[in-house]
Amino acid sequence: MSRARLVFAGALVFALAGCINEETRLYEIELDGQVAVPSGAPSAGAVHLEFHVARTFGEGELAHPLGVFETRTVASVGPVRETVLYPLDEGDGLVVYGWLDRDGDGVHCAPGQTEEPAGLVEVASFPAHALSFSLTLSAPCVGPESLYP
Amino acid sequence: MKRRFGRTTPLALASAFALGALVSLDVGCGAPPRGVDWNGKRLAVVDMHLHPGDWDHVPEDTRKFLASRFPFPIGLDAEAAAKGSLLPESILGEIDDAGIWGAGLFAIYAPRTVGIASNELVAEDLTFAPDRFFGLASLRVDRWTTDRDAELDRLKSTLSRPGFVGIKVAHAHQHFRMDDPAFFPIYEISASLGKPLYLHTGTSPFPGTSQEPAYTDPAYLETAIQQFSGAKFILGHLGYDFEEKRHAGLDTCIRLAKTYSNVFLEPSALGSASSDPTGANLKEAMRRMREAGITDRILYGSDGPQSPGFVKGYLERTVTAMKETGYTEQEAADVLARNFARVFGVTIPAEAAE
Repeated sequence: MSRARLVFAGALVFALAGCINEETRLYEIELDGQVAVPSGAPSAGAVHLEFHVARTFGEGELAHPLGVFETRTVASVGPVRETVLYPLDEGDGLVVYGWLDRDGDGVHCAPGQTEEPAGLVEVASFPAHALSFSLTLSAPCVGPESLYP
Repeated sequence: MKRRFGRTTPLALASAFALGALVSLDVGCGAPPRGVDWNGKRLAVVDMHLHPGDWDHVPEDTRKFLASRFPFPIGLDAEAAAKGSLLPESILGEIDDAGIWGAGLFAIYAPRTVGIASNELVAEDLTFAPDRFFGLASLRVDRWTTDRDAELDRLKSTLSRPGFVGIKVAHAHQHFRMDDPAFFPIYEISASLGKPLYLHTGTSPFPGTSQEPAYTDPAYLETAIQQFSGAKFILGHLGYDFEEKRHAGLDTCIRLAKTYSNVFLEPSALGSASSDPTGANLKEAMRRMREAGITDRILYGSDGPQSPGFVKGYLERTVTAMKETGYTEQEAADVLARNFARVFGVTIPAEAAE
């Protein structure tokens, strides 16, 4: 390969790499949590969890609360341990939202189903690589937008 | 006008001018006639679904997404092209080129997905063509627990301004459940002020959208439709699945329209070249709505301006779909303009189709 071709190929690779490599800064967090329903309430079913930034960065009016960055499903209420990768450039604060899939259809409160409770908690002490939270699912059929801020 | 230039760079202005020139290439020296040809007769058209905007109030991920959709060679400077296409003068140029008389301009407050086109921006844009532009106001819902009353007051106040004929909300883009009673005061305002409500239904390709059924499936609106019988619900996009490019909520939309007299349907965007490459899905929707006997509930909209020529192209695809599925002149005239006039209380002048 001639020197000119080599320089051209190098420049092309450099330019393409510049286009496709957008840096994403992720912060690993190990979450130790307890998910519960109020005493006496039915507790059978999987729990669907969403992890949100509490406040999303945005210029002026584009700033807004919440912004999901990971979802998980755990087999039941009780202790949970999850490792999540937090997108540092998207916002700050950490919110955990969850709902109980009582009928096992994977859909939160399909039409006619009014008994699937949800809950939300803002995790204290963020940021840190190890955090704990306690989440109670007690509000039927609401999304995170109705529970935060 | 001052602020309009405040959000316009010279590049965007040049782009808008270039777009206008581009779309008028096939026109020659005169403006095209108003209306569409239907077996030798001209029918008036209102495109109820157009988006003005402010490029600086669109989230970065969405800007990239929008810019990527511009065809070559416009895509070479897609940002400038997209910016220019959102201006009222560009929108007017697009509807003129398509022979469309009237246009609905949507405000939207969706900071996580499609961005913000404020009520104030729409109010300003309405002055550009006050006889032909009709505003649909919106409101922020992302801090509902703290800002609800202020947002509702602001919505009511906007709806009292000249040119605002309805309300626009998009549960999937604004992230609120269709069945959450906390947001029902919005429907209450629609009913009490007699301002119809346009609702995005179906999934969406925009980054950050809530794609779950409670935010996209029109079945979740049924409680509100029943409870607020005085509000007119216009179900946008017929619950289309824009991710999989297939019908998902069409059956539900038709059922709701047949069951409730306050439900109307709007088949925008789903029939575009990118969402329905063969045109089969739009044709199926138009056919099935006609077979269900609800052509008096269909309001035409495109979801433009998107890219130059989209508004005209979408109208042509819709007219073709209606012709191929047996619509009569009366039914086509209803869909294209008369249903809009009836629902929104707007008078369409004779010159809208000549």
